[in-house]
Order: sequence, then C-alpha cells, then structure tokens
Amino acid sequence: MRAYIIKRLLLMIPTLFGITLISFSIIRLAPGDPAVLKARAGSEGITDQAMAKKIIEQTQRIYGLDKPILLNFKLWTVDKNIARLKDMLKDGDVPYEIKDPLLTKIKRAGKGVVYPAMTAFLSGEGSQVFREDLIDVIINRTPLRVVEGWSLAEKESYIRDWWKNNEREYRLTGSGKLLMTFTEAQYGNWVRRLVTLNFGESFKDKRPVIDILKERVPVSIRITMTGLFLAYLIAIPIGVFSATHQYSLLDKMLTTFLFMLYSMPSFWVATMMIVYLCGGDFWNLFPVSGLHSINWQDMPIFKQLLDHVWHLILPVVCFTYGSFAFLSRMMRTGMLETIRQDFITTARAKGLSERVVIMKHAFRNSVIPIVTMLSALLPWMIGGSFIIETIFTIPGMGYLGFTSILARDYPVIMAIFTISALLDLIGILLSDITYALVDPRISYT
Amino acid sequence: MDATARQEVDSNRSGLAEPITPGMPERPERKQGYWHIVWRQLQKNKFAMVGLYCVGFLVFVAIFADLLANDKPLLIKYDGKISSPVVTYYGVSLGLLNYPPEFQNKKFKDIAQELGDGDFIVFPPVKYSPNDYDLRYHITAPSKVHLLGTDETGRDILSRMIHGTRISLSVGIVAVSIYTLIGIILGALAGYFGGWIDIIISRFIELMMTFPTFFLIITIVAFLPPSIYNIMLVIGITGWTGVARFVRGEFYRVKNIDYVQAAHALGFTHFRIIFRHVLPNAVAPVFVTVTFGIAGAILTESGLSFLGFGVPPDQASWGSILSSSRQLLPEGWWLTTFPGAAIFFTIVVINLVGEGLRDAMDPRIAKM
Repeated sequence: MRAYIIKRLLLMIPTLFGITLISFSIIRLAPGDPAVLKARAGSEGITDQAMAKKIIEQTQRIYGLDKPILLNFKLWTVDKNIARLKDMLKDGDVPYEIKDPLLTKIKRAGKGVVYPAMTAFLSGEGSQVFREDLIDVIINRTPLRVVEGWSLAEKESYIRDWWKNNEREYRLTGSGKLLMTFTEAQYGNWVRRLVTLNFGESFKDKRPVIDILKERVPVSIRITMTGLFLAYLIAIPIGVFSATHQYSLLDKMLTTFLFMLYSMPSFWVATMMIVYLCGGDFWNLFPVSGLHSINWQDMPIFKQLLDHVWHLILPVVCFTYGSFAFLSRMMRTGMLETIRQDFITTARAKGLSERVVIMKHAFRNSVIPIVTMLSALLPWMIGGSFIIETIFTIPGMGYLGFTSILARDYPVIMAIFTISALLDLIGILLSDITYALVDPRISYT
Repeated sequence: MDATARQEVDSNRSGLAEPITPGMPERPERKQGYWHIVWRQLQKNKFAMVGLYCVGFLVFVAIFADLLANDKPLLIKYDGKISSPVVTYYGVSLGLLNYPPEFQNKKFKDIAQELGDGDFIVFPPVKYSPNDYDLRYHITAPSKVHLLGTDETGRDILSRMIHGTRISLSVGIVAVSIYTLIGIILGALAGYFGGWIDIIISRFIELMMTFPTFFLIITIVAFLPPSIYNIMLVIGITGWTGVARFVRGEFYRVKNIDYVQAAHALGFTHFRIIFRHVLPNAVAPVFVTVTFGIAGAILTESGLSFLGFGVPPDQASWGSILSSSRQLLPEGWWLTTFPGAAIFFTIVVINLVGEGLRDAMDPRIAKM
C-alpha cells in the first residue's frame, strides 16, 4: 500500500510538470506579446525606434519576457556573439537595424551575459561604440543604475567599482552554466515563482495575484463543497431506493426525472431561474446576483446568515443538480449490479433480513465507486463554476477567470489554471488512495 | 512466392474443388452479424427509437434550414417567369450567378405586394432569414408576426433557431470526429505497444483529464478569432481523453487473444495488425462514447456562445441567442426559454440514442 502511494506521488511529478507547461504555453499562445501591448499604451507618440525599443525592453524585463521561452541556449553562444559584435563595430557605429538583432541575442542570455561581457569590457579592447553597447548590456542585466548624462569614463569607473564586490555572483562555471540554461528562461522563472506561490501582479488591478486569489478561492470552494455534499447526501438514498424498488412506478418516474435533469444545460437552468423566479415578468422570490444584499453590513448576525443563504440557494441548486443526477444514476446502476451477485443471494439464503442484506452487504459494496466519482466530478464542477458564477455574479474563482480572460490578464489566468489543476490533482489522488484503502480486491503492483 | 504466382496456386486449388465462377466468389450470407444484433436490440428499445427519429428530424432541419426559414421565396412567378430565389442564392453566394435584374436591390416582401395576374410567390414556412434585422420589432414577445419573438435587433428567433440547428449539430459531429480520431490513434498505440509508449500516453491522458477543460477551451477560444471552425478544433483537441482511455483498455484486452498472436506469427506489420485485426474488434463500444460525446460537444459550444466566446455575431447558434438574453435578464423570457429548450431537447434525444446503443451493445443483454 505504501509502495502504491509513493508510486502515485512520483507519477504526479510528470503530471505537475505537464500542468505547469500547459499553463505556461497559454501565455505564449496568446496573440501579441503582452509586454508589447502594455508598452504600446505608454509609448504613444514616441517616434524614435531605439527609444520605443527601450521602453518595450523595460516592460519585458519587469515580466521576465525578454528571456528564451523554455531553455536558454543563448548562454552557450554568448562569447561568440560578443566577439561578432566587436568585429562588427570595429570601424565605428553601424545602423540600428543591423546591430539590433545581435544585441537582442546577446541580451537573451539573461544573467549569464554579465560575466563574458565584463571580461570583454575589462580587456579594454574594441571601439568606443562597442564599449558603450557593452555597458548598455551589462546595465540591462544587473541592478546597476546609471545617471543620465554621465560620460563614458564615469560609467566605466562606476562599473569597475561595482564589479570588484560582485564578481563572484556572476562567475560562470560549467555546472552553473548548465543550471542557468534552465533557470534563465521564462519557463524556469515561472516554475520558480510558482513554487514560492508568487504569481506576479495582476495587469488589471495592479495587485499581487495571490491576494486576489485569497479572496476568491474560498468563495468557490465553499460553493463547490456545499454542492458536492448536498449532491451526495440526496443522491445516495435516492439511488438505493430506485434500485431496491426497480420497475416500480416511483422508480420509473425517478429514473425519467433524473435522466431529464442530467441533460439540462446548467446555464439554461440558471437563466431560466432568473427569468422566472427573480422578478421579471413572473415571480420575484430570489435575488438576481451577488452574495449579499446591499444593506448586509447593517443587519443583525442572524439576518446576515439568512440573507447569505437566500442569495446562495439558486447558484447552489444550479451547481448541484447535474452532479446529483449523475450520482443518483451511478448509485442505482451500481446497486443493481451488486444485488444480482452471488454473495447477496447467499446472504438472503442465510436468512438475513432484507434490511441487513441491502444496508450491510449490498450498499457497502456499491457505495465505494460512487465515492471515488469525486475525482471525475471535481474538474467538471470547477468548469461549471465558471458559467454559474458568471451568471449570478458571484465573486469566486470562476467569475474571476471570466473577467480575467476578457481583460487579457495573463498572470491571473495562469494562476487560476495552475490552482484549479492542482486542486483536481489532489482530489484525484485522494479518491484513488481511498479506493485502494477500502477495496482489498484491487492489487496495485 | 510473388503475388501473381500465389494467385495462380489459389485459382488452381479452387479449380480442383469446384467449377470456376466468374467474378467474386460468393460468400455464405451471415445471418447474425454484430451490427445486425445491435440494430435488432436497439429496435426493441422504444425510447431509443423515438430518440433516433428525433435526431433524424434535427438532421433534416439542419440540412434544409435554408428552405425552412428564409426571406427569399421558394418559388416565384413574376412577369410570367418562374424561378426559385432560394436555390439561386446558393449560386449567388458562390459568385457564380446573379439575381435577375428585377429582383436586385429589392426585398422580396415588397415584390410580393406588386404581383400581377397569374403570378404567385411561395415563401418558406418562416419568412425571415436569421440575420434579417427589423428595428420596428426590437425585443418583442412571441406574436403572430414573429412566432417565438425577436431579439434586440428585431431578428426572428424561430428563424435563428432553425439555422442554429446547423451550427450545433455540425460542431457536435466535427468536434467529436476529430477527438475520436485522436483518441483511437493514441489509445491504440498505448494499448498495443504498452511499455514506455503506454506510460507516456497515459500520463498525457491523466494530464488532460486533470485540467479544467472548459476553462482551457474558453481561454484558447478567447484568444483566437471567433469562428465555428476554431471551436470545433479546440473541442476536438481537448476532448479525446475518454476515447483514448477506452480504446487503450480494449486493446489491452484484445491484443493477447489467439488471432492477434496468429497475426504476429504470420509476420504481419504492426500497422496492419492494429488497423486490420485489433481495431475492428475493439472499436464498436466507442460508438457509445461518441454518441454521448456529440451531446457534450453541443453543450460546450452553446456554453461558449452563451458566454460570448463562441460563434461570430452574424452566425446564429442556440447559445448565442441565449447569450443575447443575458443583457435583458430577468426580462425577455422568450429569449431564454426557446433556445435553451432546443439545446435541452437535442441533448435528451442524443442521450436516449446513446443509452439505447449502450444497452444494445451490452453482451449480457445480446445473449438473451
């Protein structure tokens, strides 16, 4: 058993890797570089190409988008590229369009550019333009700040002083270079930030994503858990009843009803409820949206609770009925299959009462697969929360996802992706382990 | 021995046993083929058959949507000439034909007013095209003029729903075809070869199942230009896990059966064994998954269109009609009720067929 759990945990690693990779590719898939889009807003009216490029570079640097995507191979060619630049500039400056691609290549080496660039700089060779560009590259990749209007000599001495104390940090060894190949890339950065739960800052709200998630995720989890709990609570007895009274009138009605319920699109049910129950041309029984009434703050605590429940009834119903119908049908089928097995006949032949046969022998055996359905339901419910929360304007993760996609708020989108996939993964793992624990017939080798 | 030589031997051999008959040798007719049994079982299931007829009806509506709801007449006799503008329209939209000059820059509804003696005009049952806007009828409840009401630009809901059938069904069928193909290929590879290939593909399946698929689809679709083809493709790319898992399991089961071993012993290529020998025996139950899958894909498309990430605004889809009701909530009950009912009806009948098919294919029942 322990071996099985360890194996499952180990197998989670490639899955996790895949999840981060897909979440990450989403941002690459998006049309238009987000940094460019963002910088464009700030650089209206700037006609100087080099200046515009500088602004874009700055924005890219803030979001780490100026490095290679998956692996940084530019690290390994940076020496050669610097030599080429030196060669290109030996007779003075060349047009920007010719120089720029090479400079970009050099800068893409990330932190690894500093050491070779400093070596070239300290050797004192090359034309003056070359040295100016080198200084540019070094400043781009280090926390150095140069005051506008300094002469070349002043800059040089400033960098030399700084290098004396910081050389060690930037020195490249073979293994260090190999490590940097991974870490000095966008994907590596993203994973590193992920592990520390640093999802960056929302483009839209200018707040750390993790703070926004802290507000939103609990709301969604509360609704999901309530929904799941209710679904199981009602579905299991109904399924058992249906199976033990197979072909009775009530069973037939229940089966038909559940079948219809199962086929109803939740967004339709939600909009229908709003149209017919929330004060359109028909009844006015429930609030249309939100979690609280406007004057919620001023209510006594008991009324606050009541108000909250009143707001949650329709969303939770919409959220629950699908899984409820699904679970009831599964429970009925599972129970019917168990009842037909030999050990139930044996139990009856032993003279056990019908109640004991059903509750102790049949029920226990057929409820296990239902419990593990959790792993199939979770991703589905998270997907469902997207629509339901949007329709009822509930400030949860699903609604956050919807608004973030509309606003192209990449950091938030990526964070939601990862979090919900992680939640799913944990759910699947838990239900698999429960299954292995409860059902001794299954061997895991 | 080359192919022709083998053929000679074969024909010689058969020549010994019986007189040579020209053409294909006659096969003894199989009375109880697999699909024959399944079909007979399905026919016994009343609900499934009703579902099947309803699906047939939907397919009919989808194919003949242009003849059922259109602002162009089916037939017109004008100035003594008989023509069918509906049919001509196909040519016009392809750039091959032009309307006769008397019909150009004129609405057929106006032409209908000025018909002479002996002229006639036959309109389709619904006299509006899905994009026929009429601001005089801006958001009106069902009435005699517009049976199911109009939306915010006065477009006829019934006409949009008829044309929406086409979108919904084609999204369902194409998307599911794409993912069935992916699923069968990946599942077959994993189940047949096992080992490392299986481990990699299984991890991939688990990965895709872990992802909140609907969110993934919305994100991708939101970044692409709105188009029905993108939706088909994205649903197709994200939906294959169920089929792949199923086919993988079937391949695991079938690959150790004697006839597959025999095929190995005969030195057949893996390709041939997979596609000619194992697949036909493993693939039948996939049809059940496919049937439910079509319902699921239709649901996904309408959900996407409902949120506004689906079809472009000029295309009618059930989801997009529902979506136009969102701004009016809680008013505008007809915008919510009818398109949603259409989605619901479609899902129910397809699921009925799926359940019937599943029961009919269940070997425990077939034996009875």
